[in-house]
Amino acid sequence: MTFSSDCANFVSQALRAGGWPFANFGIDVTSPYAWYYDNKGTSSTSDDKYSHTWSVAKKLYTFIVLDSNPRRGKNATTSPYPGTTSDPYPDNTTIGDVIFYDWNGDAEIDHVSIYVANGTDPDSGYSGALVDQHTSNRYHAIWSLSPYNRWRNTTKIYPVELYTTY
Amino acid sequence: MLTKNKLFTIVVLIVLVVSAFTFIQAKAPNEEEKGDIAKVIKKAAVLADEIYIQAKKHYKDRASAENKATIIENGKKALYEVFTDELAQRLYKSWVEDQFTNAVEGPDQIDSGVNSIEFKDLSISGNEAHVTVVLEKYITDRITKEGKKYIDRMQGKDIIKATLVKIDGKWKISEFTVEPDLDPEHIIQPE
Repeated sequence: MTFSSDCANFVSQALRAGGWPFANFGIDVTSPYAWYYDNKGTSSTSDDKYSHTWSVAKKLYTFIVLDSNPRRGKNATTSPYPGTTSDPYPDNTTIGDVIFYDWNGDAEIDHVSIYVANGTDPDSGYSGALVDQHTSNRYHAIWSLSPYNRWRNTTKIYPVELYTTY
Repeated sequence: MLTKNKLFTIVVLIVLVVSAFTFIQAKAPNEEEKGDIAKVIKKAAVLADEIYIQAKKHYKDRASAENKATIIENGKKALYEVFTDELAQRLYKSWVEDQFTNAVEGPDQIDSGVNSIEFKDLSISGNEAHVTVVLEKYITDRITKEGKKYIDRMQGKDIIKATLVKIDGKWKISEFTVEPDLDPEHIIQPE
């Protein structure tokens, strides 16, 4: 399956590869309590079925922090970071956690990336927590995405701490 | 016979002129509307940046609390001019008030603007418009590298989808989403 806006699908695949079990496999794709990708056991993608929580960033966010049972994660901070932040690391997060972004500050999540390493972003030279992401594809970008984001003044960033056991 | 031909020609000419006039009348408001909508979207695109730049200057100048209050009040006014009351209310904190917290440790931004706006989709039905545009926006920072000062201009094309409603003859944005291109161009020059 190809997605025009691929960020959540990319992160969902990473979480799945990291051991996340599907939730409520096969039920209504719009259910906020489901998180799955069903390839129907075939290599063809035309009949694939996947939950909205798999492919839409704001739905993945609410699944993780609100609707998953048992709960799979929580907001790492009480309030979001501004898109202008120069903090090298987001508080209470570690490699493997996920970072959500609201570009226009309307409290609706628009984008998600995954925290993959600590080090130096090869493009910006910024050091700290690095994320990988799709659409736009970036490898080891500084977690704030500030050197790439012309909407940083309205952006809010929500780091999410994933539970290791649930 | 000649009179008949003349009459026919005159009638045809009148029909053509009336048709052309009607066509121009039908097209002209759309172009005008498009221009008005483009202006509103461009204003929205740089609104928070303008407040941020003023907030940054406020701290540099160690200006008074009164100065801060004026910037916030003007920013709020600008916000309500561009967005509907409902959306402006939702965006107020993040677009206006928060710029003063962002500016404390944020980049030394000195400028922002729009290079171009390209309409991908525009439909107007009465007092409501739905629009998708590709907007090339830039922001300019003053940066320091190895002790030297530079001007860093970041520019790229973002997709904006918006719904606008006409209130008292003015277009205002009631829904607004941004998909930034996170692979921008940086033009860095010595200051």
